[in-house]
Amino acid sequence: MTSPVNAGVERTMNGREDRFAAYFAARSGAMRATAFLLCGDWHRAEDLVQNAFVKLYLVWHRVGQDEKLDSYTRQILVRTFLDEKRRGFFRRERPISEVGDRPLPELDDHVENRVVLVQALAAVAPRQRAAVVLRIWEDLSIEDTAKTMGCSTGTVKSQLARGLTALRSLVPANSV
Amino acid sequence: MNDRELRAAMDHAVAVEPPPMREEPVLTAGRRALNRRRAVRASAGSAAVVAIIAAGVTVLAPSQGHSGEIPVGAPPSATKDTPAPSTSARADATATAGPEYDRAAALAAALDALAPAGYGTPGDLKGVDDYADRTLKSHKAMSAGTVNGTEVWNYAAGTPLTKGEGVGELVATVYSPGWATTGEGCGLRPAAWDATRASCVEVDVNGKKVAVADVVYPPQDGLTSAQWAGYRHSDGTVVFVMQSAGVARSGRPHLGTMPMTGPELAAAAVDPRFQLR
Repeated sequence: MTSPVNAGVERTMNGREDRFAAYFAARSGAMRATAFLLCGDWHRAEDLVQNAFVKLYLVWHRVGQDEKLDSYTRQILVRTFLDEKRRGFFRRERPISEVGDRPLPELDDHVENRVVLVQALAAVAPRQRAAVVLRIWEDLSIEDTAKTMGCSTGTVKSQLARGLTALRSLVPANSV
Repeated sequence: MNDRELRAAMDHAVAVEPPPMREEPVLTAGRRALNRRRAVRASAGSAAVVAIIAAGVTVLAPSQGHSGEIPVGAPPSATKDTPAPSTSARADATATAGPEYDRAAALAAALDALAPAGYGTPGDLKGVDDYADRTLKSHKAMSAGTVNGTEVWNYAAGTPLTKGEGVGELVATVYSPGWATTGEGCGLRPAAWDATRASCVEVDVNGKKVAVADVVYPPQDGLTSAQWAGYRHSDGTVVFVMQSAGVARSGRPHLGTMPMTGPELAAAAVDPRFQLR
């Protein structure tokens, strides 16, 4: 039988988890899209999002649910990506250890163009890629991009310029 | 391509996404990580109390909570959290059995056979820290999508190469015919690992033009230099084979030199065993 004290703890935990679960349901898709552009693979993107949300879970009791929460979560995601790139993990492919039962998404006729862009992004250096995705796709300011990546605005500007140059050299003008 | 076109292309790239991720695996992993952190803190607290009592001083255990800015992107404790298994990952595009899975296994076997004399390819060698539960040897087969009515498969395998205490690695990734590529030799696009940092030369292997690229990373990336060879076979199969004298997260020293020469790596890229057909 659950004591009143334990029941209170459970309610607190459930409330905390309910809020976390609701936030995950609302925002994991957007974070996964960012992760996909960063790493070029839906499997890796989901692994990255999961790792980022686990880190968020650990500090959930200390973060406020305001407009800054997305920024904070994105920071965890991007820095986790950069950290894993630095450690070389994504250079090695990994089998997926557990399986689900969801269907393959429908692909349309433009899949070839999509593949070209994703492969080109993957060929750009990780920090340059992060700068491009955050500044161009997320439409963050230079300052917010720098805060997200944990570097100076000058570094963001140089990484962005190099990344865009590299990307444009890799993607034929009429392919996307 | 201007910024607006690039943004539109990125929108297009993520427009077809998998079904939503499930929350339960993340909650489960979060609970485990929280329990691990609490256990470590309790253990550390107990050790501190024992040490202080031994010195004849009575203290209270330190508070578990504190305020202040939360470090972003890093575990909030001194311990490293083990990433949970990818229970949320899409399995539908990954072959876990059948002919495609078998081809990935064949790729892994081909990599093992490529190991130069004197090198080991252990299957039980694991990483360290937060990757202590993952072996350095692995392989997988994953659908890369359907192009012009043909499903393209990506096969990938990696193996550690050991010699004495040192460890390096061989990694290969193969795309089945149909993958959208252009060019040949150093002009082959898309190229493999970190192409923008690659210095490429072309090596002739029995009349076949093979790209051999050296990749050197900036010191802050902490990555070991790598060398890869890439070749597109006449049937459209694209093969990339990479070697490195070190392995991140292995916890072991690097090999003194690259295990293979560039021409040997180029020969592997055209080796029919990597064609997987």
